[in-house]
Amino acid sequence: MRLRGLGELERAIMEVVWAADGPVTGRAVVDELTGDRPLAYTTVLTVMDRLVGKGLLRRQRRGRAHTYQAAQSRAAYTAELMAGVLDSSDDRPAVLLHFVEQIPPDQAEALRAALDTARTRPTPGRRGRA
Amino acid sequence: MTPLLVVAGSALTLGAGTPLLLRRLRGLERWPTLAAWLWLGSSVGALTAVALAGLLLLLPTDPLGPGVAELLRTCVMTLRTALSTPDASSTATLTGLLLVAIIIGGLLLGGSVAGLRARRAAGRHQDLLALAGTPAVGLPGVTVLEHQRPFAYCLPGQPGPVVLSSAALCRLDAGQLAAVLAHERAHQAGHHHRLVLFAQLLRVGFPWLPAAHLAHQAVARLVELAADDTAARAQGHRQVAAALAALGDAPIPEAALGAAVVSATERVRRLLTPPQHGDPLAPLVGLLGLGLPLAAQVLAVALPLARVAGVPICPLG
Repeated sequence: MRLRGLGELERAIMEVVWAADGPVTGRAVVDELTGDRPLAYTTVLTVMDRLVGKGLLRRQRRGRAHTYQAAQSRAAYTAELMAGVLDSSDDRPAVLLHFVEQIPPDQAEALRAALDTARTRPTPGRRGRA
Repeated sequence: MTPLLVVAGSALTLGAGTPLLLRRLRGLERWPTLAAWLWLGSSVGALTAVALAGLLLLLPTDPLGPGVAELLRTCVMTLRTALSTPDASSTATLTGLLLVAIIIGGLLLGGSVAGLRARRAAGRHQDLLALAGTPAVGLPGVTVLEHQRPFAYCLPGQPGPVVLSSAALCRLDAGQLAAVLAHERAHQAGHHHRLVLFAQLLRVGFPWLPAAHLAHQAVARLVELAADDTAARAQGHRQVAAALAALGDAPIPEAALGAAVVSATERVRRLLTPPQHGDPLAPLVGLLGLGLPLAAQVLAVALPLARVAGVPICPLG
């Protein structure tokens, strides 16, 4: 399953850039990636430009070529992602719908008891469905 | 003066009275989607009433200057009498302008702040998710995030991404996992993100409106109940309840208990308790609480207008 936001190639490119020690050229990324599969240089550069546009890569001019660098470390992205996921403020963007928030410890016990009771008798016939 | 009074009364009722009524109607929770629409309808109705009041006050006094259209002037006089609007003093005009501006400004503000923020956050979140998450094996459309806290959530879309943490996957058995996924897919299929976004837009754009504040909390809560019900119909009430307990009852040290929109305990109890037969009237009462003030504001303006439309000199129809 590919996510709409970032394609497989974009992800692979980010992996290479993160793994590299400092700024890398487009050529270096292509060489690294073609180990797995043959890729056109222009394809990779186009995708890298897109990553620059998304603010995930930074581009600098080094002589006649461009070099690329990750805008943030992988850990920083994960932290940003988790901050969004665990944000429980009242005005978080209306984007994430959570399955459940944490249950306070003092209620957990009562809950388990209720579930156990439910397990030992037939499911309540709400809307007639087991 | 009467239409103006009716419209003002409708604004007050929908803006503050109907929300109080909806909050008391616990029986409505058996119809969470209907309840969410009633909440939103009450805010929207209050706003249309305010806009109508503004327009009533704004009926032009002297359109297009003298001599240009004597006909128009007579027409407006007729309208003014029919709608019994006060002779447009500058105060009335200013008030009318202000009311209309408040509505338009609020919509623009709410739309841009809540809407754009949600849009940007969704795009960014998807990008980060693709970088940090891994596709779940055997579960199409599901992404796994490595995290010691059990959580599950979904992004909008048909089908949009559903995200589970590794800890959540560990804690759920097959039936509970199916229940969680059914819950998330119900959010997406029911366009619940849009309902929550709309409620947020109203709250941001119209912070002075009690209905908008209350609707935001209520809608966030009701879409959870609606998704629970859909999941329960597909996977069984007990499975959904067990999944809620499995994910919500995690011994997390930092345990930053957020202000949960609806407590998991409450949802589990609701799933495990057979429906009360006490309040079959709740949807009717809710519909009347919204419908009557809405009808009042529409009729207050429409009836005089219909009468004017019959006057030959003022061909409104």
